Parts: sequence; structure tokens; C-alpha cells
Amino acid sequence: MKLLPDISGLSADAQTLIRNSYRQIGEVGDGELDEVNAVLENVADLLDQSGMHNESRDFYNHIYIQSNDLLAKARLLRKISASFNAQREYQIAQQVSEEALLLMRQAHILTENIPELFETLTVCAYANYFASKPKRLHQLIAEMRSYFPGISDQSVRLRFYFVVMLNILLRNRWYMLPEEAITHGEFYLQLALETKNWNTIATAYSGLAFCHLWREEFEVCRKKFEVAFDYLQNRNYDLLLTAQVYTAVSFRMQNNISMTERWTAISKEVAEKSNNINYQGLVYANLAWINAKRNNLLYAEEFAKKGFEICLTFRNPMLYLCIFPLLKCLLKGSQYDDAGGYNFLLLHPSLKSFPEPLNEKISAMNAAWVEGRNDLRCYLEDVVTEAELSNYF
Amino acid sequence: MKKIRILHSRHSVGQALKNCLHEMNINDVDVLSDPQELVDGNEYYLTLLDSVLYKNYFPKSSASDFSLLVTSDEDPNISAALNAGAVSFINIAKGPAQFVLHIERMESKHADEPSELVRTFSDKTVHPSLLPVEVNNLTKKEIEILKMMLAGKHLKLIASETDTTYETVRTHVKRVYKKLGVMSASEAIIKAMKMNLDKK
Repeated sequence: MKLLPDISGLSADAQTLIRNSYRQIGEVGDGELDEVNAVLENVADLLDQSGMHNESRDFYNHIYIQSNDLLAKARLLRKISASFNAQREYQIAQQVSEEALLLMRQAHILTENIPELFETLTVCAYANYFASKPKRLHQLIAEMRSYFPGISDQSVRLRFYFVVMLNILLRNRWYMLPEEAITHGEFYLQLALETKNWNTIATAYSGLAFCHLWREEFEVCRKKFEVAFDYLQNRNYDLLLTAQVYTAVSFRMQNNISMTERWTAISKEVAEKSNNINYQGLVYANLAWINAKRNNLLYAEEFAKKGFEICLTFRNPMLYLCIFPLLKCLLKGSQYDDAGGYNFLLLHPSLKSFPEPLNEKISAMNAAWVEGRNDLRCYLEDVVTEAELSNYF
Repeated sequence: MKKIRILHSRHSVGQALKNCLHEMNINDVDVLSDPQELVDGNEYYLTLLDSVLYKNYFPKSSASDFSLLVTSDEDPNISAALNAGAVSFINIAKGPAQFVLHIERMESKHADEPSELVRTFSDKTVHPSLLPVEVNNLTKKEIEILKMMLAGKHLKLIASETDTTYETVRTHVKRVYKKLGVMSASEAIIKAMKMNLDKK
């Protein structure tokens, strides 16, 4: 018998819902393994929705071990992957979702199983965006399009549209997104509004704001984030942090130190409260920028290195947020060779792209660095100056 | 699981390449800067070799594939290295794009075959992603300190709460880092979270 974990930390409503669901095991006869597993899977779903991801995966795994049905196993892996996605464990999520897909393909897919296959493809696509795999994401979306006409569940359709938005971001490497990004974002928002679900609507506003940010339309970006804040009302810390951190980044890109500081302080509190290490990395990056701008270079370097370490661990494509402040510090400290190593990473194809003049300076610095030249200072100065001119530092 | 090693005359370049691999979620990487440190290593599937060190390395060629790292397509060692069995040459002067592409190809060559994956999941075994991360032989004291780090306590506070000196706590922390294979507090905390140490 799989015991219910300690759920005393959850809200009273959630506890009641989970306990009532769990009690249904008593109504199932002995030897009815499938029915017991169905109850347990429902409990696991509720645990996952309540944020108890480790515990929900423990339940899914329990059922996975006992099941002989390939489709059921694939569905459980899909749920495990979604649960890892929710915890920003994207690498594992990506691996597990690909495995779920592989299992689905081993099973005989009937028309009635298409929605499940579609959901698996969606989870897999989502994980591949965060694992920065544009080609794979594109393949998955192409396959999803072929099944899309047969999908009637509006929430599943919405998730597909969200994945399409992610594809636009990744394809353009978060730089100067085409008009298509905004058109699609607005379309997604209209559909989200129809759901009347605060989380879906907030996600749509944040997504649209994010698209405006990477078109460098800062005012509109912040207005969209503000509406997202109204819907969020201090719920869904993950999304709240996205909106807060990138509001800070929007001010940072306008060289507004005081407003960047204000939003960084707000996001720092939420990142610490929710123990979201990935976003703590971005908070450190913004703190590094604020300190570098105020010439507090010792603090700036410390924050930038902390942020860099975390962002690298989480494979955050916005690594530049840490690197440019760090380059400024290393320039002042005459540590040109070390700066070359960080500068090299800015050209990584999985990371955010930059305007061409800035790319040219970064590439010139890189060529000089790999050759071991001794006039790196001029190249590094050029990178930092161009980053300042283009609002990336 | 086989690893990658980078032998580069400049440690900063080796480290930058290691960071690039980290960005691709390839974490089993050794960086060496002295050819004397090179030994035949069956634990490596790929050696990335700085052209400057090519001649020192070549007599000690090992079982692993090797690729030559160059800063110009005109590098005089390229043809010799390719004739000697190098799988490719990688020009890093234009940034990491070519390097990343090459590694992706090598990785896919060494990836598990799909049939192997299907076999694994047809077994009634626990899915690998669900296996707990090993506590890596940490002692009771080390676990206690790691838990306190996870709770956001700094080392001086940990020393005062555990009634030990700051230096002793530092020694424990260094051992924790070594056992977990990490270099910093952030990495240790991330590992501790993966071990669910906060819930134990």
C-alpha cells in the first residue's frame, strides 16, 4: 500500500481534496490493481498540482513499476517530465519526455490515443525549449501541427500555442523578434482571456511582455507585465519571478539604475522566499549590473561570479546578464585573459544573440584572445563600450 | 560513462571550453595544461588537443578519439594531425559555434541506441530519473552542515550553532565539496536539493 505523504503544509482545501481522493482506495476491491493505480494516479496529479512534485513523482513511479501497459507507462513518464519542468529541472525533463515519446511510438497508437500523444509532444517541446534545442523543438511542432485538427480540448490547444511562442523566441535567439511574435502573442492572449483562468491569462500577458522586451519595446513590455502582476496577486511564484526579473531587465536596458534596483530588490525577496535558485542567479546578475554602474566593482564582481555560476548550472540563455558587468570589473582589474574566457561564451550558439556591432567587437576580442595577443585591453574596452552603447551593459 | 578531456597550453582557454561544454550539459570534463599529465586514459572518449601541444602529445596517443584545437584554418599541424588519426580540427578563433557542433556530433555518436532505451524501460525497474542522488558517503556531521547551508546559514553561524570553530566548519565544507564533486556553495546546495536533503 502506497502511503500518503505529509500534506499538512498544504491549504485546507487541497488537503481535503487529496485525502478524499486517497480514501477511494478503500472502495476498490482487493486485486483490482488497475483501479487502485487509477486512484493513486489521481492522488499524484493532485499532489503535483499542489506543488509537491517530489512526492507526486514518487507515486507516479510506484504505478510505473507495476504497470505493463506501454501507453500507461508513457503517460506516467510524460507526467514525471511535466513535474520536472515545473521544478525547472529541464535536462531531466527533456530526457524523460523523449523517453515517454519513444514508449508512445512503441505502442499501437489508435485515434483515441492521439490527444495523449499530442500532450506528450507538448511536454517534450516545452522541455526542449528550455534545453535550448531549436531543431528538435521545430521537429516536434511540425509533428504536433499534423495532429492539431483532431485536438478539441481548449487547454491542450492553448499549450500548443504557447509552445509555438517558445519556438519563435528560440528560433530568433531572443533578439529582435519578428512581428509574428507579437501577432501570435496577442492571439494567444485572446484565447487565454476566454478561459477566465488567472494563471493562463497571467502566462499570456507575461509571454507577450517577454516578446516585447526582446523587440526592445520597453514601455509596452512593462505594461503587459503590470497586467500579469494584477492577475498573479502573489500567486505562482515562478511566473511572478519571471515578470519581476525581466521588468528589472527592461529598466536595465534603459540604463535606469534606481528602477532596476527597485525591481531587483522585489525579485530578490521572492526568489529567496520561494528558494528559486535559477532566478537567484538572475537577481545576482542584476545586482552585479547595479554595482558595476555605481563603480562598486568589488561587489559587482562578486555578484556577477555568483550569478554566472548559477546561470551556467541552469544553462540559462541570458548568461550575458552576468558576463557584461563581469567584463567591466575584469577590465578595471586588468584581468584581460580571464575576461577572454567569459567573452568567448557570449558567442555560444545556445545563448541570447546581440546586435551586429556588438557581435563584431566580441568576435574581435575573441580572435585576439585565442591567439594569446598582448593588446587585449583595447579589444575588451571596445566590447564594454559597445555593450554600453547598445544597452546590453 | 566516458569523459572528455581538454589539453590546452592556456588554462583560461581550457576553462572557457569546459564552460561551453557545461552549457551543453556535458559536465564530465577534465582540463589539463601540462602534456606530462596525459596518460593513456580509457575513461575518455574524446581528447581536445591544443595545436601548440600537438607534438608533445602525439607520441603518447591514447585510446580516445582526438580533435585538434586551432586558431587558424592555416595551422601547419592540421594535416599532420588528420593523417595521424585526428577525427577533426576545430577553429575556436570565431567563437564556440564550430566547437559546439563538433561536440554535438561526437555526443550523438556515443549516445545510447534507441533499442537500448526501450529495453531499459520495458524492465520493471525504477526509472533512472527517479533514483535518489547518492549522498556520496557524507558523514553525519557533513550532512548536518550541508543541511544548514541549504537553509541559507553562513559558515560563521553554522560554527556557532554547532559549537565548533569556523575553521573546523570550513574543513567539513571542503570535504563536502570534494565528495559531491562541486566547486562552490551554490553547486553544493543544488546537489543537496537534488538529494532532497531539505526533506530528510
